[in-house]
Amino acid sequence: MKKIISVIMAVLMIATMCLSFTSCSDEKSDWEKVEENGKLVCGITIYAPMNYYDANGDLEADITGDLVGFDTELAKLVGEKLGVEVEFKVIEWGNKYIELNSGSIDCIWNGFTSNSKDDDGIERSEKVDFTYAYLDNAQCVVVKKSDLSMYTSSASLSGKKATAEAGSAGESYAKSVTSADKVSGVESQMNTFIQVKTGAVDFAVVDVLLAEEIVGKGTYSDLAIVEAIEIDKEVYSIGCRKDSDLDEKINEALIELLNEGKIEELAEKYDVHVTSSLLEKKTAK
Amino acid sequence: MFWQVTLKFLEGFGATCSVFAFTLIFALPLGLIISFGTMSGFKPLKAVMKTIVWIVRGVPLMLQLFIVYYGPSLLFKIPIGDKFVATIIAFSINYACYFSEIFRAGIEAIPRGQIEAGQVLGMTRFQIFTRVTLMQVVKRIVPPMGNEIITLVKDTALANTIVVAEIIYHAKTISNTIAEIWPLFYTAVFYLIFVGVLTLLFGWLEKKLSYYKV
Repeated sequence: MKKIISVIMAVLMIATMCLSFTSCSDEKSDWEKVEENGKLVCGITIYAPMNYYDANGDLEADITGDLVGFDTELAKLVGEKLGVEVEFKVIEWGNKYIELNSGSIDCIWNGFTSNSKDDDGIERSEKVDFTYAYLDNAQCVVVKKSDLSMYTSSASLSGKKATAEAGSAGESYAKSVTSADKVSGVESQMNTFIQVKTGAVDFAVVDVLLAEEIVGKGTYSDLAIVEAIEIDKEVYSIGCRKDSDLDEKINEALIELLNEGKIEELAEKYDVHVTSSLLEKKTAK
Repeated sequence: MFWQVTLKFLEGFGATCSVFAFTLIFALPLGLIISFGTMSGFKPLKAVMKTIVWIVRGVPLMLQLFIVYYGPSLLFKIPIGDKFVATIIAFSINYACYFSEIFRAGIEAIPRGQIEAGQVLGMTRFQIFTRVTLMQVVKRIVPPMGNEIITLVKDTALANTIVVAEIIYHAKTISNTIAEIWPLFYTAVFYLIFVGVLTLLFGWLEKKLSYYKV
């Protein structure tokens, strides 16, 4: 009986090894895989105005409803151009590179800042292949309303405790203005607000598009955006695997959509700004 | 708003319950098999099983979840695809190892004399195990199993780290959408009710199984 069990286990082990060797042999390019599967899997997180739910068509974020948002609609348009279905897969933002490299998503498409460095000081563009930058964004500093008068310039942030989404561009900024050990990363941008509210930290650095949606309302009515501090502009791009051919395919589709005026139409609908670098490409064509 | 959140939570609670139920279905028999392995007289098998139990109990469940979900695709380019399946695999293996130690404790607590008595009566090993040992093991392990099973209810929350749409995941997403923190705290009610029901169930079961008491 025991010998039989050990023989079965040995056979199982050999079987799994064989399986793993055979599966390594077929290497297809990213685009070939997407085309073959007939679907493009986009890694997203749920936040307005990029990817969020809307139940009644008023473009306000709801708990249930259809997935809408600038990135949602843009991805669907690109999918149409490429002739594939678009599947949105919610990911944990901190795991975005693992999700991408493990192949469980084909691209990171969720307000992904491309002209920024990660925590490790390495440019994001060295880790993924970016498409053209399609949207402008900026980070902003959020503090308690009662402390607002204390913050007049980026120098006034020095030595203060800060929070930002782990691995975000905001975190890098926070580390540059105060010291690295004063910055505590949290798993989503949304979790930064409660930290400021409870006084766990002095300020948070988040996307201005998000901050405008949240700050000053509901639970967070006692928070404010520091208008006096301006942080460098950033741009959003779509991230594909390194050395992938998918980013070129998406770029082609983006240019087509741009020439049809569809991207500007969408930007107007969601009140976001298309980058000038993308708009220039329109006149060139 | 409250009603909407509750509806969404019930949906997430369904996922929580299925992670819980599937894990139990797979982990209980697997745990028994592992416990036979760790009690085996065949040394290599025993060593292998003990090592497996050591590794599984020695690594955080969250890490095991990542290994099961991302491992196959990163190493062999075979994506496991479904997050739910990955969760069930990771949870089942993890809980089977904990269960196996409880089973082992229960089985080894049965006096050797009873097994010898069975042998004298001419019973086969299978008969001795099913008719003498197992009947007593079941009632002895109810309290420690209750402990583990209640822990399992709350451990299902870990599945949200790979974005399985269970109740904590929904609470986080809703909190993000409506910019309020209360939905996250509200989930506690669901866990408390679930664990409350289980506690009553185990109390009843213990009473029901209190045969052989003198």
